[in-house]
Amino acid sequence: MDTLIALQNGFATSLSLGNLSAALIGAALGIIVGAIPGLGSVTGIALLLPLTFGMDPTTAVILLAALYYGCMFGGAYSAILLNIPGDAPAVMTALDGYPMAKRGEGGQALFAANLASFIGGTVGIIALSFMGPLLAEIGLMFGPPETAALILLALCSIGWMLGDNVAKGLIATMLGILLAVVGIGSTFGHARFTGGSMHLLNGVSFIPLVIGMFGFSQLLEMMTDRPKQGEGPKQIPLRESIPGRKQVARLVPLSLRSGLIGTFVGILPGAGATTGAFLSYVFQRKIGRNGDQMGTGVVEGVAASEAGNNGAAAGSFAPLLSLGIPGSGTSAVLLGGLMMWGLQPGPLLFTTRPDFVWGLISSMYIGTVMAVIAAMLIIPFLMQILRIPISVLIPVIATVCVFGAYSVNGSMFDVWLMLTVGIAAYYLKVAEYPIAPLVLAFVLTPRLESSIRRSFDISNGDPWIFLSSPISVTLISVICALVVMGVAGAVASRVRVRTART
Amino acid sequence: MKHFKTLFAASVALMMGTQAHAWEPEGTVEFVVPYSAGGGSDVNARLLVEAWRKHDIVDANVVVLNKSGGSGAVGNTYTFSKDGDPNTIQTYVSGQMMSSISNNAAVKLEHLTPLGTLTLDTLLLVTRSADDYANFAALVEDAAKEPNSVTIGGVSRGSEDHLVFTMLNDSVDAELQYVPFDGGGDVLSALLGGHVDAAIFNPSEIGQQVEAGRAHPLGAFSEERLAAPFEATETFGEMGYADVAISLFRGYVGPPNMPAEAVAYWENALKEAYETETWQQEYIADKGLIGRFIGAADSAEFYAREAEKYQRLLEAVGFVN
Repeated sequence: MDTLIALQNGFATSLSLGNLSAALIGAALGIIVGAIPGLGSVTGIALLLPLTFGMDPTTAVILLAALYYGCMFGGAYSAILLNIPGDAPAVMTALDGYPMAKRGEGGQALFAANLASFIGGTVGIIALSFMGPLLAEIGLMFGPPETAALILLALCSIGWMLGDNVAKGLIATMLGILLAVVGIGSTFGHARFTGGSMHLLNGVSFIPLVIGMFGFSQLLEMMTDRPKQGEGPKQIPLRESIPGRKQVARLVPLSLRSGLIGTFVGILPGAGATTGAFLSYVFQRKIGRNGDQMGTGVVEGVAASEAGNNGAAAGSFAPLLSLGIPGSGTSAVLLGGLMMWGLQPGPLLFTTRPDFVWGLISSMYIGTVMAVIAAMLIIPFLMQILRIPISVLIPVIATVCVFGAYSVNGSMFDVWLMLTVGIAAYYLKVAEYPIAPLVLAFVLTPRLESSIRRSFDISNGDPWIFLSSPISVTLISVICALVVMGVAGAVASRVRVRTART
Repeated sequence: MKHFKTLFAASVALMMGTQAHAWEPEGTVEFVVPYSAGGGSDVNARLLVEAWRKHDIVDANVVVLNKSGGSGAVGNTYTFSKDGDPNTIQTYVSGQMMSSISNNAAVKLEHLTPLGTLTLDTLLLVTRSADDYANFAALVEDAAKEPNSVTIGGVSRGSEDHLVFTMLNDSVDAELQYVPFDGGGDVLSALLGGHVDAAIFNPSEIGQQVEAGRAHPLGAFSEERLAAPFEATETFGEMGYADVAISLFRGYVGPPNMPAEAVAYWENALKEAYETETWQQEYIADKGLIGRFIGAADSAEFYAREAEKYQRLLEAVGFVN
């Protein structure tokens, strides 16, 4: 009950005309920033932060929270429309979103993505409002061995879950792991596999890699395999793209579920929205009604991924507000904002400055509503992109790819890197190797390595530490079950093929 | 008439050119923090940016960029790669210098351009609650039962945390176990979650937790007692470990070959920020630090001297040979 009263007070401050317009502006900006490949919520908030200095703290934080939510919505757009995920969590969105767009169902994918983002985000915010401090405490239970087991679970399921050929999925995962270890190792500070190159000391940059792997290889595919003039898919018009009651009923339960999974992963230190989106997707694929079709372009895939990463975005605020530990890059930038307004982030924030904490939480509700309104207004324009003829689209995408790769570090090396991995990814695709496992493994590997290394430091080299807590035992059992089931399934199908032949 | 206009415009431009004072950054300035967000260096950088903005000292948009990993080597290398760029600055603390020595990293102090120093700092050994260990003696007693059973978290290997750990470990009759993390925020999660028995922090990183009763200080690696909330915390010197103390600096550097006018600009910006109330109150006083402004040239000399001292200390504890 106290929570409801506190939340009500929060809304009382955040629901003024000025604050509402701040939320709308923030959401619209966020959608644009999120939709541009190479720019993400971290950059967006960092760029906007200085402009908020003259503002009232509550207005400022509402603007930033809305921007954050807008980014989460916008990240799905370039993934769906161009097959270029704006950030790591959107990788999963591209898997089903882009095939849908190619079939002319882009509008449906966009609306489903936004509906799911809204539901997933709201689930996360409600959890944050009522159980924020509790969630943060649960997050603390994940030490190095538990984190290692969780990431290992994600990595193991990548190969088995994505694509039809398990062996090829695993090979792609391994390639991602290999790319991720390039650069200065986080444990000892030694350079690995850099070939003496200055540029590779910092490792392979994520944005050029993902733009090359998805966007540029897509471009090559379009060029070699384009449909004859006027033979493009028939676009489903706007009116029919808006989800009807039936479709909403189909998406709501899965978005709620994915939002919960995402929120839970979001509170864990360093697991992040990517793991949240990924695990939601995998879970949906396992238990969902048409899970086996996921990856070919079904709305469930888009919705699971989007609800998962929006839930994680909200969840990452729990350790920030209740313990003063930033759970994501974006909440780290907001931590800077908190200090700027003279607040001391830490376990006392809820009691010393309830006005601010509840103002922020209530502004998240407003931010996500504003983002959904702004998104609905923007989608009709976005759908025009789907009508652009392929001959015009190709140079546009090429420009976006080069610009996006260059803009991250202002380095031509990244552009060459993007082009190289793009060509490599094209041939991988031709040989039917899935690309998503590679990119996900690349994102997850550094955290896995440092968690494993740290676990061994804690146990003084004893591997039993990975089986020393109920959490890690459960996770490792699931990993073993997955592997056994996968192998058994493969053997069974081979036997079946053989008996069928004889 | 047209010619006159052109002439007029040209002369205005010329006047502006001659009037233009010293160099000033244009566009976006990258403020590199080689540790993860939420740690001591991150807090330092973000508060400095706040002081610059609040008091109109730096007009350019300064963006804090966390480049963590490799015990600071990732950030150092990044800044090093911006050769001659006046728009890149970086936090530079003693721990970073130390790890570049102990890891024999490619980028060392002599590859970077010192801009100034604002703070001296120290470290504390902290446990989760007095129920775990009431004092340092209790921790040592527990550790003596089984070697490497008591774990102590800190940031990075070959860092200042690792050095004070080693100094401490060498002076007690027990084998403690050091566990390196990527940044202060990660160490804090591990301590609060009970995944390490104790951990090493800067006072500014742990003050709030101590006040909230979520952490319990066991000892200070300073020469003298610290201010509140650590006034009751004994120094290791008081406990009889005479040489177990460290004084750390927090400074700032730029990339190699940073133009002299840019160095002068940033040195001045640091000096002005140091004098603001924001900095004195919200950073120095609130966080119980020792404020001291040291200019660019003096900092260069100071760092070189410290580098020699660390080399000696690190050799003594066996990190380098």
